[in-house]
Amino acid sequence: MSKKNVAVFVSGSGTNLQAIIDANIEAANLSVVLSNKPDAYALDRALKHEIPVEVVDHKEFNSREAFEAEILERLKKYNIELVVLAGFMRILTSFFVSHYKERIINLHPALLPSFPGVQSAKQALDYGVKFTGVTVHFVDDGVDTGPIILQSVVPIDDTDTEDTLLKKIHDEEHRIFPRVVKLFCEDRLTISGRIVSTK
Amino acid sequence: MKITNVAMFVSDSGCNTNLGHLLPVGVLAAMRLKSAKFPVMLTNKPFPYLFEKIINPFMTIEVVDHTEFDTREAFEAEIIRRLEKYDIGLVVLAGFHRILSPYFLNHFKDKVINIHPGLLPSFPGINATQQALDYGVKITGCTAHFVDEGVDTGPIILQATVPVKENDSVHSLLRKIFREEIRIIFKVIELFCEGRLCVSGRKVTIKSN
Repeated sequence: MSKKNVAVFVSGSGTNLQAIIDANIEAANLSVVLSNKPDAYALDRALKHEIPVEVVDHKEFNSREAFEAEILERLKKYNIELVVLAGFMRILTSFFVSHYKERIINLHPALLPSFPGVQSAKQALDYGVKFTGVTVHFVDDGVDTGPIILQSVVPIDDTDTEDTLLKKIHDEEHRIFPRVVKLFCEDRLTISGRIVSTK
Repeated sequence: MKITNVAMFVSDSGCNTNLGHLLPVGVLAAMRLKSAKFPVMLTNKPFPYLFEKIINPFMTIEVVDHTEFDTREAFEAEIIRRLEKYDIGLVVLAGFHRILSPYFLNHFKDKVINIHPGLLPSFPGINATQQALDYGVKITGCTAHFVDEGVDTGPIILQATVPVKENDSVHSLLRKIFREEIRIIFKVIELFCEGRLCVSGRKVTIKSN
């Protein structure tokens, strides 16, 4: 089987990157880890596993387009077929998204379309829902609006705080994100409008 | 034990989706509760004959047709008048498709509960199941919540999740959601009538027995 070249975008500690590394996905070749933060711990994890790293610091660019153009430039040599946003804290514009149309996946810590954007766990707690969860979706031009690939439920208990809830959500993320990377790399996802089905 | 009189409000007996049997099943199940009585079912649309035959032996059916009233207030005033004799302590909206105004909600303050066939705050309003299918979510569900002045915005009491399968139609999905709705309607009525629901801001917690 031919492997797909995968770029993982990170901004922070990279626990989801670690989950993807640990999953040893046969169909995926983890080609590069890209961070917008030079000090992201995720970079250490990548280096430890001998995955090439690229740092493109958004603060060094005047516009989103210039930042994204630099990312595209850096990715060229890796011949990337899938971009995985694993805790990447920059919103990508249609300029970037159109370059990798239907080849960018994002993980959102809520059951979309509930609680898009930032601080989803807190939003869910404040709203008083009894269930939240995790969504993996293709990225389109909106914020957390793209076609949904997989979702998973996390129950909220009366005693949950933001910390305990985040812990449960992260555990679920680490479980389902590698599964979606695997499905994509094995060519088992088909998109028809907003509906993603799995072969 | 204190017994609470519960009024069920419905618009759609479910007959148009061949799910008509489920609502009465849920109500009949809830009738086993020691803490609740179900003297009346109110509808804004006359029931199909068969449905009326099933319900009638157990509770009175009150029909208040909203098209006969010029204003929401007049419609709601008539509902309140019809309910007077039943000493209602809880109103459960189970597929009641009229929005209730602050006038009505103040009359039954903190005593109106709605069952919504979606996992709120996703897909509020009508056709929640179709909305969920069109959006392409993999998980939907149903929500029981206290009714406030918004549409499907009040504090959430209970939710249940339902997986969406790739071959699900609106009908097959509604069937699964209905089954969960019946389960949580029963549970919510029980919790309310036993005085076990505590509302604090938007959060509803359940006291143990």
